[in-house]
Order: sequence, then structure tokens, then C-alpha cells
Amino acid sequence: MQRLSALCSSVPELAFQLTGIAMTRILLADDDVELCTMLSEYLQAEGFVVDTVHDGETALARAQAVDYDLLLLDVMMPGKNGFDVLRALRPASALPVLILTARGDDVDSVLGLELGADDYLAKPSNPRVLVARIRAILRRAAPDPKDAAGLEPLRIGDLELRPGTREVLVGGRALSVTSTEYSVLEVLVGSAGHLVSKSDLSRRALGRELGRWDRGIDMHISNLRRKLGSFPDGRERIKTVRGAGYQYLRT
Amino acid sequence: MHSLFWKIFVSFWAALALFALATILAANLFLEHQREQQGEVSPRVQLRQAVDAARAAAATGGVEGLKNWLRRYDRQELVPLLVIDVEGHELLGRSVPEYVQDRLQRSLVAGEGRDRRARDVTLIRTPDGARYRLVPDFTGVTLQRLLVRPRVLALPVLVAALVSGLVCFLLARYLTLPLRRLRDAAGEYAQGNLALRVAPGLGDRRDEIADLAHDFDRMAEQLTALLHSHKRLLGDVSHELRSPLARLQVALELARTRSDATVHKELDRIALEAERLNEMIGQLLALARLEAQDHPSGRESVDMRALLQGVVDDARFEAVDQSRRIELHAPDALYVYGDPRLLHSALENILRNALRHTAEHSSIDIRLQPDGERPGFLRVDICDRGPGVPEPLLTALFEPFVRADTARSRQQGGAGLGLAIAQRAIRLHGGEVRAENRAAGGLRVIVRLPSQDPDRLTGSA
Repeated sequence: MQRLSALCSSVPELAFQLTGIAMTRILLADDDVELCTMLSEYLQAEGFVVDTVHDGETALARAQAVDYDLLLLDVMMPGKNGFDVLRALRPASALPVLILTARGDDVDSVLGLELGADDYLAKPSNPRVLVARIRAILRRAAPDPKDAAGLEPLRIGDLELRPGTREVLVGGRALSVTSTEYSVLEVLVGSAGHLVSKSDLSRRALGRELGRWDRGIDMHISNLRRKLGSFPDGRERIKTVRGAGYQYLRT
Repeated sequence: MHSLFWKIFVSFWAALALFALATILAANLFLEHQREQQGEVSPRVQLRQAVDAARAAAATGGVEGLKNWLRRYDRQELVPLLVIDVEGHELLGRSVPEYVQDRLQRSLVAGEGRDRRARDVTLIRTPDGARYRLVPDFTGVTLQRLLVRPRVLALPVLVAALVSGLVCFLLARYLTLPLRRLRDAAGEYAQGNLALRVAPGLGDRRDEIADLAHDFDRMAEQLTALLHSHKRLLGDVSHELRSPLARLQVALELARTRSDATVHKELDRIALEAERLNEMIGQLLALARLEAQDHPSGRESVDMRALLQGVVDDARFEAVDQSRRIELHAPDALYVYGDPRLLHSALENILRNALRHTAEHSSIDIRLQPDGERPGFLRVDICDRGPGVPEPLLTALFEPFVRADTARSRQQGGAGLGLAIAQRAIRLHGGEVRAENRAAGGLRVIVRLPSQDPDRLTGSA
């Protein structure tokens, strides 16, 4: 297995064929080579297939060429940094992205989420936390087919959510939303007309507790508002209740 | 001529020369004046005019009238006139020189009008019949009389004094004005404002003071660069420390998966220390960021009561474990227009510090109230029941890495950065923080912040 993984990380296409669909493939982009080696070792032990790249250009090229399940993207890289990669990637690709930001720099995390990252994690963090975040994103991105198969599309007004393919349609037109944005919208639409608190949203859509200064939910909502647009009559679809949470309005 | 030395030298020299010149001119004018008077009106005619005036004064005012006239005359004229009665006493009590007495004697003997020199002596009668003789005393002309009687000399001397005064005034101003600017700049630097530059305000001045101003500006630039690099170093070092720390954490987790139970205790310890290191670096970075800011970003109306409640709720988890209570007294709703995260972290750091030092089974009191001493401010008092802090350390307490060092506080973690972060964050909001020992024992930290008028709240969450 060890040798197989090593082979896989050097030849991604081969790895894809060899490991098949069961293995989750992660692209790790970080300029710290030693960290990448150890982290990919740790992630492999957790059951992921990991490719590592050390600069933005290669990361972008690889992410566009190979069908990964998740991109683990360090913000601080020489040349093209993480934000540049994210900007070039979206909206054409819905590849789930977890960005690694410098601890305490919330400007970075806000910008990353605005550019369409699914989640962020401050660096350095415990690798166990990292794995938990990765699994949460992957669960959202590819829900168990057994769960999704039986689900009917969710319709409310001109909005349609398709749980099987995690697609969002407004007036029949498909929008490109990240899987995290889909999850947030799904929770809101599921309780349309009712207020959903931010901590509830964080638990149900992101799968984690809301931190005191966590702007994650706010950023995902702001992205959703931009993509969905307002109701045909001009009203906002998602109402903010200050200090309480958000509400998807019924038409 | 650009050198200050030459400017002072030449100005002083010129002023002195000017004054001397004006004095000579004045003396010259006086002499000419005298000569003109002699040319137009002979001293004899002058004397006769004086005698006529004296007679008129005596005729109307008697002896008193004569005295008054004489005093007035004496104040104005250079050559004194003596008025002597029959007993040889001067009317104003002045002493009569011998040669005048001599002359008087001779005129009395020779009879009026006979002796040539005696013709200067003139008789004046008052209505009550007293007789006086009027004699000019040419020997009585002294330098003092000359200087005291300003009629002749006043103008040139005044002009000389004014001109040389003006020169000196301009020179003094020319010298002190840039010095005052330099002093103001030094004051600003002492206050920590290194942005001020002196040289641009001096125009195209080129002398020692301008050089000094340029040196001053260079010094300020150097200080700015130094301070900047100091701050950057702090930030950069902290930043660079994170990469090895990130590797350490991954390596640690790898070691954990491959190890057996015997080393778990040690691995946990390594993880704990790595987390402490991480926290410390985070604090250093927060401090570096605060130092680089000059106003809080992302301001909003912050409900201080709710904010303190949040801080207390977070801290109570730890406090309950350690059997320490936290009491919050916040009867009034008070607001601050600021960055809630910074305010939260400031108060959290102060509270954590109090929790570290307060005695077991004791309580920490937090009180939020309007500041009685400063209108428009609120104050938060955080009182612990610990050992307090030695007096000399009370102000240093808010400097990075300064601790009222007890072995216990070191054991309980904390790099001595919490209070420094708190102080910077509070200052950024225009407030201040200080610490004092309580009479009953323990430390009281007082935070003062500008409170926001409740009528002008914006977007409170």
C-alpha cells in the first residue's frame, strides 16, 4: 500500500485508475515541502490519496487537469498565491476547496470564503482537526448515494434544489454553487419562512460549532445572495435578522 | 553669509555701529542746533526774552508764579538760569556758584547797567516788592542736563534705539523661531509621533539651524525605520515560527499513530507545549498587528454589558474547575463605538490574568459603570483577590513580557502578553487602562473607554 501510494502521488492519472472511485483524492498545495511530506503521510494513513504541489501555477494546472475530490490550498505561496488559484478556479470548477490561512488573520479567511472556498482552517492546527474539516466538506460534496437517491427535488417558488446532484436552479437556470453553499441553502430552504440561527446553520450545514468570531456562515450567505439574486419582485431572498440568524423568505 | 555665525556676527556689529553712528549724528545735530540758535537769536536776546517771561510770571503770579515759570524753564533749557534774592539765596534752593556771587557783588557796587558783564544780571520785581536777580549759569551745563532735556537729542536717539531694537528683535526671532519648531518636533517625537518633519517648514534657509533641522529629520526617519523594523521583526519572527510549529504538530500526530501506549503521556505533554507555543505566537502576532494599527477597523456599537457577559461566560468554564467565582455587576446598558473583537480580547486578557492570580475559593468582581471622574467615559473595574503587584511594577505591568513574577504564574501559563495586548487594544479605542493594589488586598485593573451616546447607536448586534 505504501508503495502504491508513493506511485500514485507521482503519477496522478495512474493513481486514479488504480485506486478507483473508492479512494478520496486530495490535492495538497503548500510551499513548505517538508510539511507536505508529513501531512500527506498523515492523510494517507487516514485513507486519502494525496498529491502535493508546492506553487500556485502547478496547483491550478493540476486541479484543472485531474478530477480531485478536494483541494487543500495554502494561502501563502510564492508567485500565484492561494487566492489567485481560487480566483482562476471559480466559478468554472465546483471542486471543494479548504484554504489554510495564517492564524489570526481573519481578513484572509473572509477573502477566501468570498472567493468561493468551502471552508478555512488556521495554520498551524492539529492535523486531527484538519481531517475532521476535510471529512465534513467531503460529506457535503458527495453525500452517501443511498441517502441522496431517495430524495425528491426541493421546490419553493422559482427555486429548485436537487439533492442527488446538489444542483441549484433558479427559474430553471442552473447556478454554480459550491457544495458548502448548497448545504447552507438546503438548511435555509428546508426551514423556509422560519429563522435559522447562525449556530444552527453552522452545525447543520458545516458540521461544526460556530466560533465566536466565525464569519464563515456570513460569507457563504453573502455568496448565495449574489448568485441567487433577488425575488422577481425585487425583495431579498435571504433576510438577515441581526444578532439572531438568517431566514429564507417564502414568496 | 549662510553661516549662522556670520549672521549673528554681522547683525550685532551692524546694530552696534548703527547705534554709535546715530549717537554721533545726534550730538552733531545738537551742536548745529545750538549754532543756529546763536546765529538767529543771540544769547543776549534769548536772555532778554527769558527775563520778559519771568517778569510777566512774577507780575501775575508773584513769587509762586515766578517759581513755577523757573521750574518749567529749567526743565526745558540747557543753560540754567539762577534767580537770586537780595540775601543771595536762589529761589529754587540751588547753590549759587562763586563767580555768580562775585558778579552780583560787582554789579551791586558798580550800579545797574555800568559794568559790561553785569548787564547779564537782570532785576525782577514781584507785586509785593521783593526783588530778584536773574543770572544765567553757563558752568551749570552738564552732560546730565544734556541727556535729561530731551528736546534736542530725543529724535535721533529714539530712532537709533528703535532701529537697533528692530534689528535685534528680528535677529532674535530669526534665531528662536526654528528652534521652537525643533522643540515642538522633539515634543512630538517624545509623544511617539514620528511623522513630523522640520526642514520643509524652514524654506530655503541654509545655516547651522537648517542643518540641525535636516539632522533632526534624518533622525526621525531612522527612528521610524528602526521602530518599523522592530515591529516587523516581531511579526516576521512570529510568522516564521509557525512553519516549524505546523510541522511539529503533524509529526506529533504521526508519532501518535505509530506509538504504543507507553509514550502517550509524553506525547500529550509535547502537544500541550506546542499548543502553548502556538498561543504565544498568536499573541505576539496580535500585538504586532495592534502596534501597526492607529485606529480600530470594523467599528460598530458594542453593548459592553453583553460583551462582558460573553467574556465572563467563556471564563467561567475555567473558573468553576478551579473553584474561583466571577461576579459581574453591570446595572446600566453602556455602549462603546469600536471593534467588538478587540474589546472582547482586551477584557478577556485582563480577566484571565485576574483568574490566574486570585486565590482559590475567592471571587473576581467585575463592575461596569459610567465613569464618575470623566464625563462621556465608562469604566470597567476588574478586582481579584490575589497577592497584588509590587508598586513599581504597576505601570510596567502593561509592557510585553513583564510579569509580577511568581513561580505560580509561570506554571499557569501566560507569556506576559495578555495585558500588553489589552492595553494596546484599549488605547486604540481612545481609552486607558491602569492597575492599582486594593486596600483589602489583590489587584484592581481599571479600564476607561469613551462611551457612546445611546441616542446615536449604529448597527448594534
